[in-house]
Amino acid sequence: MKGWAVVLGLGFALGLALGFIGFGDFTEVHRMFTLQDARLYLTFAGAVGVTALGLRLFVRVPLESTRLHRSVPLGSVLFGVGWALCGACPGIGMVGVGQGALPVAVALGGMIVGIRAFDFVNARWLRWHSTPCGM
Amino acid sequence: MTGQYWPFWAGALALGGIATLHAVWLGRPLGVSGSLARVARPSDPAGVGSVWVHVAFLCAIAAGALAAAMIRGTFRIELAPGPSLRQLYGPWALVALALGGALVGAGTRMAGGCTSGHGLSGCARLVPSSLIATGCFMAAAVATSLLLKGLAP
Repeated sequence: MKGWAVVLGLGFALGLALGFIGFGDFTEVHRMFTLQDARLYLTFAGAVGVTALGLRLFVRVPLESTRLHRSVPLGSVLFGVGWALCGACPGIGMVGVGQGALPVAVALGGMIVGIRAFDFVNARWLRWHSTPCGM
Repeated sequence: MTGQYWPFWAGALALGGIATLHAVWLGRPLGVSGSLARVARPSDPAGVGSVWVHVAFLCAIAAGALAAAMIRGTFRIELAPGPSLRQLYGPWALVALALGGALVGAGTRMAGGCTSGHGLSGCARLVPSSLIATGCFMAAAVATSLLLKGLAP
């Protein structure tokens, strides 16, 4: 039960923070990516700094990392193009729908199709061993 | 426009705090695309943990965003793409959302992470693959957005 409470609490806090930051606002994200506004870059860079400090101070166990493989830069370029097109990364897609922007669900549906499409191609032809991050 | 959102330092503290607590309490780095991939493939024998935990995590993100929009007084059910999407794509906004989403799904699955996993959890530990991933997706997003802006009417 404690695990569920932690997962729900952290997810809720993440959605709340992203909503207040404006990461779910396509206009804000597009202004960041067209270099008209530095606030989201500063937010992100600051968050990396705070996380670095927090992990160093409080986390003793080794955390899993993605191996360096050509799938990492290739996949990331595809991801960046897609994020610029639809304004949503996986977390932001959930934020958009939560804020009431129901068309963002189309982007989330696209993500699920994309995940399954990559797995299909990977299993049959590429045979790369990609490790999904996170939970 | 920007004034109504949190200043950068507040967002940085919140996101950094959440990423830290995730690692402390759950023993693994924060990463949303991992949850989405688990939910996208519920019967995957290689999947770790219950699918429902990941469904709950994703729904909690949406609930948090709903609460933020309620508190800010901006919550509104929108059935059509917003004005900035329409300005950029005209009648093709839904196609752009679907295509962009598919690239995000395939790309994050291929790269093994997204903004939270590579960008936040990985970069904070200076993991080489995460630093490369973040540089690549940021550069690709900036290049694509500048191109889109140049092409838009």
